[in-house]
Amino acid sequence: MTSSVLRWLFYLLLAGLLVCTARLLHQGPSIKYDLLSLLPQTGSNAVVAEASRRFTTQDGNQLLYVLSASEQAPLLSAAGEVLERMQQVSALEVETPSRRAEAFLNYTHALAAYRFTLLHDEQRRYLAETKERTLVLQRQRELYRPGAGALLTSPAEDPLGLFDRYVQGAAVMPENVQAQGDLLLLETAGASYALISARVIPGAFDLTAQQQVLALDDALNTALETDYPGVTLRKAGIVFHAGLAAAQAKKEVSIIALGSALGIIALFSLAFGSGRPLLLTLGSILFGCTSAALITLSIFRELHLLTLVFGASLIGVAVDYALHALTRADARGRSDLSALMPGLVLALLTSLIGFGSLLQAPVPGLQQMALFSMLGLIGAWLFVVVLFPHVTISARPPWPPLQKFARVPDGLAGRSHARTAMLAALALLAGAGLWQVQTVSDLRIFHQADDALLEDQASIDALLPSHSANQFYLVRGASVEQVLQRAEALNTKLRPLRGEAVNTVLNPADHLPSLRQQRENRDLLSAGVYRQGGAADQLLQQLGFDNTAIKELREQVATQPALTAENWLRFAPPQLGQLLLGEFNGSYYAAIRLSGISDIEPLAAVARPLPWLEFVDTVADISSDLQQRQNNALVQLGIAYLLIGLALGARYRRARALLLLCAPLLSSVATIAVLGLAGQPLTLFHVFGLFLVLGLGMDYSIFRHEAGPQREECMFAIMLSMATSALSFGLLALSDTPMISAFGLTVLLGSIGNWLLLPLAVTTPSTSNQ
Amino acid sequence: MRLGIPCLLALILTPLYGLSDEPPANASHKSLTTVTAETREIVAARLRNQAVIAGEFRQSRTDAKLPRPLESNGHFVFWRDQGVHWATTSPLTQQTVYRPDTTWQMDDGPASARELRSRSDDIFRDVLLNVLSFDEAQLATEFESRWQVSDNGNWQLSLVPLRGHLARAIQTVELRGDENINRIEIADTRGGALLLEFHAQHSEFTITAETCEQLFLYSAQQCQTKLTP
Repeated sequence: MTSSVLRWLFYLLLAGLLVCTARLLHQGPSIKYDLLSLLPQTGSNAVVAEASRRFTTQDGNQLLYVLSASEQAPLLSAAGEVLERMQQVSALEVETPSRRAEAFLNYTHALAAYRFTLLHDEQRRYLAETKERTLVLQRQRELYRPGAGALLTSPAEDPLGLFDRYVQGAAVMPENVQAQGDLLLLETAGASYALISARVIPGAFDLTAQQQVLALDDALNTALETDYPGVTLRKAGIVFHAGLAAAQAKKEVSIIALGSALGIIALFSLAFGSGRPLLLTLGSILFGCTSAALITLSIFRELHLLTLVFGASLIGVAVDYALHALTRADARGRSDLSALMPGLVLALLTSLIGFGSLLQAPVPGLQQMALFSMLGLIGAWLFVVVLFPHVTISARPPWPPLQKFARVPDGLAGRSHARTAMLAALALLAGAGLWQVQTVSDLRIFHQADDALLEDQASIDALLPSHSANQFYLVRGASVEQVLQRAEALNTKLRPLRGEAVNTVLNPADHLPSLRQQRENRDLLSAGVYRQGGAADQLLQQLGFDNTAIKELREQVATQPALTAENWLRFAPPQLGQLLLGEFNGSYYAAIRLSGISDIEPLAAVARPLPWLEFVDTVADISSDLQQRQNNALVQLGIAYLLIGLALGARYRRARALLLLCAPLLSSVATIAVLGLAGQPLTLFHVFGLFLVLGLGMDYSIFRHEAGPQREECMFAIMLSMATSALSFGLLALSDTPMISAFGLTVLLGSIGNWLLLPLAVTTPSTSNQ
Repeated sequence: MRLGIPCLLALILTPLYGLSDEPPANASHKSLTTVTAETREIVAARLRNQAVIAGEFRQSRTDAKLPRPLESNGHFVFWRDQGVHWATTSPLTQQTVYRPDTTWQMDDGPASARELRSRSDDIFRDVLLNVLSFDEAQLATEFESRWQVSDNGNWQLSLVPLRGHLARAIQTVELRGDENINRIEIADTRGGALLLEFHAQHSEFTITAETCEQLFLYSAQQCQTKLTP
């Protein structure tokens, strides 16, 4: 590759960056913090994806504060203060009982037009089992009880109160929760609770909203601790998890960036004794990062924060190019890259192969990270090969102890007994560690939720079980009618499990009976309590209604139209309407949600014999998906080794070149063994880390192999590269996010292993000569 | 019994103007101030001793959706801080127990008791217990109070819910009486009304362990605690 071609490539990249910058200035850059977007899509099943999307949108933007105290007076005062402070937060829309009541009233008014077709299972049984005289008497007792309250519907329209009882079953608020003013209260044997819920208007993943909510939370905790020591505040909502995760990620970015920068500055000061090499190296990294950020943003339109965390560290690999160029100064003090160029090209190529393998990972965040790293490497590489030869490096001799440290691997490998001891130690390590390796594919490797939040969530779930967004049923049918009929049939099967495996079931058929069921309901009423002289007639006569009104009512019952899904969806509350998922590839689907799940197995067992029913467990699905991807990733790692081996064969045209693969291979084995001995289970992210170990190890091997007479300068550059990698990835290993920590630890161990094992695998001509 | 209602009257009027140094705004205020000042002295002492009020009621529910009012009769026992036993005897028989914590329905004696969890029953229970026991603090947090008095000494107190679930269900609660509360009228926000008229009120009713269990459905142990001075 000639220098003019490289120059043109560099100019092309600059031009591309200008275009990207202009585009981004027009669009506005966007940083994404949503951890869920990193999760593998279970989108092979579009229905599950749609149901999950609906549940997450509906539930995910809600937040709930639960205050508890042994006495009601301080509870009410504290809850009043919490409510007032929440109402001052612009990102929140507080849901007061009056708002809920109004929505519920509108729903019942719309339903009233179909009241003679709507009955619950229990009502049908009750009508069938109860004598008409008893039905009349019970209704009379209701009407004459002083606390019966205002009539929702006229006895002329609903004489036996069947519709009133039907809509009570559709109440949005749990039965044990009572409204008092703007608060919802709940009493248990030992405590009183006040519940205040709100909707996060811009969404739970909006950074500004998260900051506002976290600030509110801090203020509430402080206020309650000071003024209401007997009142406990618990909270639930994705916004809290997302807010804490974003704050943690931002903190980690700052620590890693600062730690890496300080480490590199210290290293360069000791290694080169002047500021210019550092500035040049930082320039190459900065150029690489900027190129990667601009182009990735242009392609993906938004950059995930974790891409920046991972990607910025991966670009630390790019420091290799600068370091090797800096150690090859000519008589004028400028980089002479003529001898180094084949190694630089091959090093870039093998790194691109390694990172390119990550592109196949069907996890959106990792694809973005792989592209970011590849672009960053290309940018930094072009910066080094085009600009470095034209700049005076002004390096001074390195700090002697650092030079001595760079000779450690050769020192070990140079003594036969030490070499034997190393190989024996490696074999022992592999033997002891590999058989202890366990694999894990758990969703928790993506995000470890805050313990206090989980504890709050568990307490709130015990008090008010919420519908799970992760476990639900999907009912399939050839039409909406068939879906509803099947959902009705499912109720019978689930009844024995209620109170055992599951607390409550939110079934759309309980709120929108199938047309067949509605016809049966109407016929049951028409031929039963609403027949001429039946219970309804008797009661209406006793209440003073005239015969005309009574006759009109009977006619209404006989002719009332059924409620269709289309009409119901026009006025159904969102939490009910979302259950009808619509048509997918010619079939119709509905979701049935569950709350208070205590045992998954019997729930899953219900679905097994029914071809039209699927029990969805997205947590288990994702874990299973991760396991499969982990296995695939190991296979792809093998393929990457193979491709790099072919590239080496093409470059060196002899089988011995394949020995260059030994350093990363042995280092990877040692890394896995150490993880096994440490009891850390192998995850997908450890495997992704091994890709980087391969990339780094190949850089070291190729540069050492190509070093020729300048082996010592090369090993010095490799030591500096290892040290910077260990520094940045070592800091990643300290992350609280399991996947970042796994990745960082793997690369930390792997890069040290690469360095130590390098002379064992790669004997340069000079070494051989010696 | 002629004691309970004057007590209520005194308590109702006291927070409104009786303790105020401001001169009354109109003539009726002036006349009521005189009445209250006199009544308070008598009633306050009696009230301390009157834990129970019993009597008969006539109930009438009107609703735009009904062709005629639903009228019923019966008797009641109010036991301060413990609840109200409400027994309808005509046109049907049923008993309802409004306790501070729960509401119970008995169609056929204590064995048939079942807890009522309807919101309208809860609202009625809160209003009835607060009004009959005249929990001043509670009433002030829930209602805006307005009173009127006629020259013949009859008085009327209007309670308008301030906010929340009461305001959504109830438009006004009106109490009327002379030396007793003679009627309570609760107008709901949907145009209906519940009228309760009281007569033959007395305070000679004694709560025994048996009546405590039978009428108010407390357990024997609870009754023992409640009846122990």
